[in-house]
Amino acid sequence: MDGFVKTVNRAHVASIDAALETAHADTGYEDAASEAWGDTPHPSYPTQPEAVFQTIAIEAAYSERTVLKNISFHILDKSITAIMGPSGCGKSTLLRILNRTLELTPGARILSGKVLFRNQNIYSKGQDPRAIRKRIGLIYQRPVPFPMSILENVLFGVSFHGLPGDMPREEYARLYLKRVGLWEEVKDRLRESANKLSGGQQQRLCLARALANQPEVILMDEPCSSLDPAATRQIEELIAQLKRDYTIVVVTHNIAQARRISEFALFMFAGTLVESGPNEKIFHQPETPLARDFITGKIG
Amino acid sequence: MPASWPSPSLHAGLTVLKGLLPRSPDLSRSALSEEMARLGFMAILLTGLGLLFFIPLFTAREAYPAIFSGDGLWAFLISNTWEPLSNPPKYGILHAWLSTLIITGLSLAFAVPVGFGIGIFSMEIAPPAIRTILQPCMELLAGIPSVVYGFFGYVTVVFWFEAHWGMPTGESLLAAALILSVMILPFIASTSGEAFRAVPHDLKEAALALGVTRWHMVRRIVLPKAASGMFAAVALGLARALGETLAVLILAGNSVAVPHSVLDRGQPLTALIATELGEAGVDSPKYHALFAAALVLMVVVISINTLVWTLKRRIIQHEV
Amino acid sequence: MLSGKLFWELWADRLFTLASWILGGLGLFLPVSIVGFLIYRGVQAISWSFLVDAPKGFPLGLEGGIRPAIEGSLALIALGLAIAVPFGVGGAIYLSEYGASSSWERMARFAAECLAAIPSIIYGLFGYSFLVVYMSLKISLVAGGITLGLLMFPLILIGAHEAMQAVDRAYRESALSLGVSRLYVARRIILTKAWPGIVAATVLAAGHAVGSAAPVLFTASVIFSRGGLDLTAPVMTLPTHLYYLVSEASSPEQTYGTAVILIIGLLLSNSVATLAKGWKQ
Repeated sequence: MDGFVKTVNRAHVASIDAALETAHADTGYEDAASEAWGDTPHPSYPTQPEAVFQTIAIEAAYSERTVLKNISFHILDKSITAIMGPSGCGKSTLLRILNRTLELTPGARILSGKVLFRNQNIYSKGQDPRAIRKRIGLIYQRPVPFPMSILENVLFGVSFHGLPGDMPREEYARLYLKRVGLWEEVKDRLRESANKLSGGQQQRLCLARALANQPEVILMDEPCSSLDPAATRQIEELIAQLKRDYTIVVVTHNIAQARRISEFALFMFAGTLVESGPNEKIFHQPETPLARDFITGKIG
Repeated sequence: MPASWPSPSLHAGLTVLKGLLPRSPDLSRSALSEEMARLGFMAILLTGLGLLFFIPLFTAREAYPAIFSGDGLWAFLISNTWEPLSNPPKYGILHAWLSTLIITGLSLAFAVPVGFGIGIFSMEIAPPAIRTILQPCMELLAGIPSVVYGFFGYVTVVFWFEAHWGMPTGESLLAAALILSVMILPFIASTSGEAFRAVPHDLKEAALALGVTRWHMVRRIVLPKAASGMFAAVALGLARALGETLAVLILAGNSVAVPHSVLDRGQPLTALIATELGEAGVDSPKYHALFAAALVLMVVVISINTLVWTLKRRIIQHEV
Repeated sequence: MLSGKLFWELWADRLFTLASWILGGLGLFLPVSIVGFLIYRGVQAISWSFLVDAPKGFPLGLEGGIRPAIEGSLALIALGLAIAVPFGVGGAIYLSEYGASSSWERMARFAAECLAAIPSIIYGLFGYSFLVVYMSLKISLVAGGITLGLLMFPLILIGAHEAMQAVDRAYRESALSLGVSRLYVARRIILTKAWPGIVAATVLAAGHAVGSAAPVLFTASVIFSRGGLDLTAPVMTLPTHLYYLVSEASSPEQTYGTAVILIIGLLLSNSVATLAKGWKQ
């Protein structure tokens, strides 16, 4: 079973490799494709980065129902972490806790525990949730284009917080549209409604919008699950490129995707954290039977 | 508490004020303006809804003398008749609420079966084309102003009563009730229609799959499930009927005599207020009596509304 | 050979279908016939002079036109909307975007629905005693305008709230994830998506208020005025003028004409509201 998965994995990685080469050629980035991918094994532990996130014994509930129990983990800077598990295990809830959008749902709240972002508890009394949300962006499962033009969509967050320096707005938007590989497709229709874009384009637009906000961390909640395979591939390539500048946390229920894109993984089940660690450990030598069953597809 | 504080209430007030303000140490300007916007909108809402308490309280205050210092509540409601010109003048609203009762009861008796019928028709039997025209038709019926209905009733119903039935005057409780039933019909039809549509489709399909007739399915499945919605529709119609003024003013005959049959003339509570207010000097006993009549009306209408509201909540809770 | 029960069931079903069609037909027939009847009888009275002249003749209203009534009604509505729209939409913004707990939201909504259910004559009574007498505004345009504003406020509040609640929650979450303020979200996204519904609710509330005689009967209306609008002076209004004409029973033509104007106003406001509701963002 393991061998088969590995073979499929390597073939898949190779094809993404090729696509990435082309993508990099198009956008003019200088980095070689093999830096992010290739078939060199992922480093087992990056040396000495500080932990960006640390959660300590989080317990959370929706109205009367407890949905998260005793969640403790940490996330390293400029890494890509996948949060996996069967549906309903609480992964999306956990993600929303990290950028303080859980409290937007009526009845949802943290019962106990701490969430440290760069060693500061983001839930302590004096914290302004909006300032935190600016630093930690969140992309949703379904793309949510706002009812305005493509240009205004990208600039939505920045129009509120203020553009850095005196870069003209279109210039700024172009930067991030290029970053997500959308510029060529929309450069002639920036003033058109964002609703006219395809699903994959809309999701990339949402990513551009989040990036334009200049966050430090990007959280993604199943970013590809409502997209077709081609669009999925594009998003996965983007994620790989973004890792250099941002810390990324991706929720996914797709094990193969987690293996493809992440370096670290958290595995959750029924509201608890079952296992966590670098991909080698989780995918090849899972410690708990629960994790093992999930990896091998016995549960899902 | 420091000894220097001038007073406990000031301290309390300042604490409350401090509680309203954001306490973030890195208070950005946008957070402050956000809080101001929030307080501003809240103030707008509270001001508007403060009306809900102000209008009934004001009405109650003005009604107070008529109920408690005149002949008393019983006399006001039951034993007195409306005789402002007698000596001493008496202000009883027996004729008024009796008229209201007769008119609203009659109009419900006409409008409820027809309304339910239209509701079922639009849910179950109407072809899609007809269903789409039915909606604006009901909205039209609901939008015609009360005074226009009164005029229409005058030139049709009252005229027919006088011409073909030989009544000395066509103005009567019956005439008012007939027109009123048309006025409340759209509300009953659309509310019950919503209730019928809310019955899950698979329930109806499952019944029909057993080979029963449509009427059987409607009777055994749809009506029981939609029962509370139907009840709410009736309550809504009742509340509307209670509050109508101009139509019944024109059609019911405006007589202060206590009505004995539906062909008598009458004067519902709303018409009483509208007629007598013009001749009521401020702070006169009649003035207070009119406020008392308004209070009765308001209490009944709000009670019905509360009933409908709790009913709706129970429906929602059961579905969840 | 059909069993007795089945026989009865089949006949009951046929009866049911027949009754449904009759009642459904009634539902279509009633509005069309009432409106049609009034328009048929009244359209002859409508002429340019009817719309533009003031009432003349003896008794008043026998001849001439109803221009002051049209002006008065429009002025009252404009004044009323100037009060009701800011309070209604502002209150709805608070309920929809800032509402902290859903039980407070429900109470506020319940309060608004109770206000909407209060009979319009009570608004008139309140307007008379509080605004006209107690606040010494006298029977005037401003007293009537405020009364109509009070009447329309709960309707606009409820309508605007519904329109904003209908906006998908994903928009709010997505936007707030970018760290912007709730006011910014309300302004740039929610109102953009909800404004057709808000316009529809406003137009319907205005249509309802235009036809209501009870609130203005004692707060703003006068039987005759030559025209001209003064905030402190009473005005003629369409519904009260119609009531006056019906009571005097002097000129059927004028009466039908006034009724038709009101009906046309209704048709207009219903159409605008339907158009607005159908506007896809």
